Amino acid sequence: MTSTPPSRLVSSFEANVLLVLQYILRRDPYERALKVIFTNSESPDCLSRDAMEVIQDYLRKGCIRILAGGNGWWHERYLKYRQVHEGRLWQRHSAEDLRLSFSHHTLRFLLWLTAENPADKKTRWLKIPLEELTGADWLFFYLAFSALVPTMARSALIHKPLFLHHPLCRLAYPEHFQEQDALAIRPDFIPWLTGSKAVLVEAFQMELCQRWLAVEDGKARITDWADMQVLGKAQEFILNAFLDALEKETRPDLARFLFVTLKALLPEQPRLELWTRSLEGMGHRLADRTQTHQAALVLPRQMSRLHRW
Amino acid sequence: MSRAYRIKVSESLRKTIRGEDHVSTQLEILNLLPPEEMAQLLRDELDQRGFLEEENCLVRDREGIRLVIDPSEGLVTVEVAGCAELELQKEGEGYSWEQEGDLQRKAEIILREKVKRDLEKEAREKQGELQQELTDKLEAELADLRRELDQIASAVTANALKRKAAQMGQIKEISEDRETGSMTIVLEV
Repeated sequence: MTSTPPSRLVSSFEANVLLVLQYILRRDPYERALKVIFTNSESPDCLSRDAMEVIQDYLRKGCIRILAGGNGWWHERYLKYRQVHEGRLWQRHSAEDLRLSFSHHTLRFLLWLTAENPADKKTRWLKIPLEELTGADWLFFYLAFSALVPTMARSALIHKPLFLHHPLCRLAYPEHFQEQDALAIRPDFIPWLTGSKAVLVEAFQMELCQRWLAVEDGKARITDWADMQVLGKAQEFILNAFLDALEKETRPDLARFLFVTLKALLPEQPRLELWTRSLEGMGHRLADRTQTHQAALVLPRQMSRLHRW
Repeated sequence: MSRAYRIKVSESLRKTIRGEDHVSTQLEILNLLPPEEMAQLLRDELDQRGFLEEENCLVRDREGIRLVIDPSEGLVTVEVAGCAELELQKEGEGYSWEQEGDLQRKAEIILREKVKRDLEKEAREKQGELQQELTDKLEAELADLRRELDQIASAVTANALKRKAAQMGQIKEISEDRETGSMTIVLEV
């Protein structure tokens, strides 16, 4: 005899919180959630026990589904610290590294996002102390970024310290971090090469590959050579930060997504036109043209470094 | 009946316009000897070709083209730069509803601003022309420079091979074919 789960009673605000959370966890389509996100509402002083339990349940199941669902369930085999590691994501890591423990900052942000309109210039953004965030919090904020960056909230989002300093956001979405404030902050990847954060980098290898292919694909539609240069500069900046850290900590295995990306990107005889076919000129000076070529070919140019490894 | 009064202004612009362009490449030389020795061989070859030492690089200026080579990295930079003094003058004509007074002064100010903008636009066009000239000049030199860099790389490689061979044994004979760029070294080990 199966037991039916207990029914929960939540307020309308709490129902909105759950809707926003489901959207961030990639369960709910955006139409319903965005209406809530871009409307201001009154946030209560506290949440009910029922609402808290549902939030915890959604986070627990949603995060595991996302981490296991991408490439986490793949049986992979690679060298790590010169030793062969193989198995699915949860077989390759200790229970300690796989544990997801959220701090109150995740809930604070979720409530703030439900109550405030992040696209409104008058909205005061939440201050999140980055040093207090757990691996699970960083995962949540990555998912929040990927949910909000295609929306009206993008222009505010990409300038917030939380996301400027978020290595996974910067690595997965380099095209959104092209401005001066982003290029002045070199995210620290070192803490992301061990422990629970390294598990996140491993779990998102396929997503990182898809994202970089999307950015490279987008280059074929760029018409202005100055835009190509700016994009290439942003890509090179974050790739150097990432690869420098991998080289220092001897974790080349975490760059596996780059090999897959390059294999998918490059045909038998690659030509520059693959990236530059829509460009209206390459630049007035030879120096500009060289820079434009280098910007277009940022990813293939990493091959010599990867080959040295 | 009101009438329009013609106003004339004259403005001048004096400016120095500048342009520059550069390309960089890497000399492809095999590391037959330790890096310091290869760097010294490159230094010696460039010295024979009239390059001068400048801040750890070897530099040659010829007909407005500057060639800078860093022997330790093998990095080659070809630069061109130029400047010109511009003296532009322009007149503008407009109309005012008053012969003198506030309206006339305002009309004159607006007309002067327009003439100044036209002068700035002309200066930008001249700067663009200067820049294009410099870029064309650099582009025209590249083919010859490429040949010269290939010759430098070949000479350094040949000298490195001879030195390497001498370390391995006694050189009995060296024959070089300058046309094909090939070299044969006979060694007694």
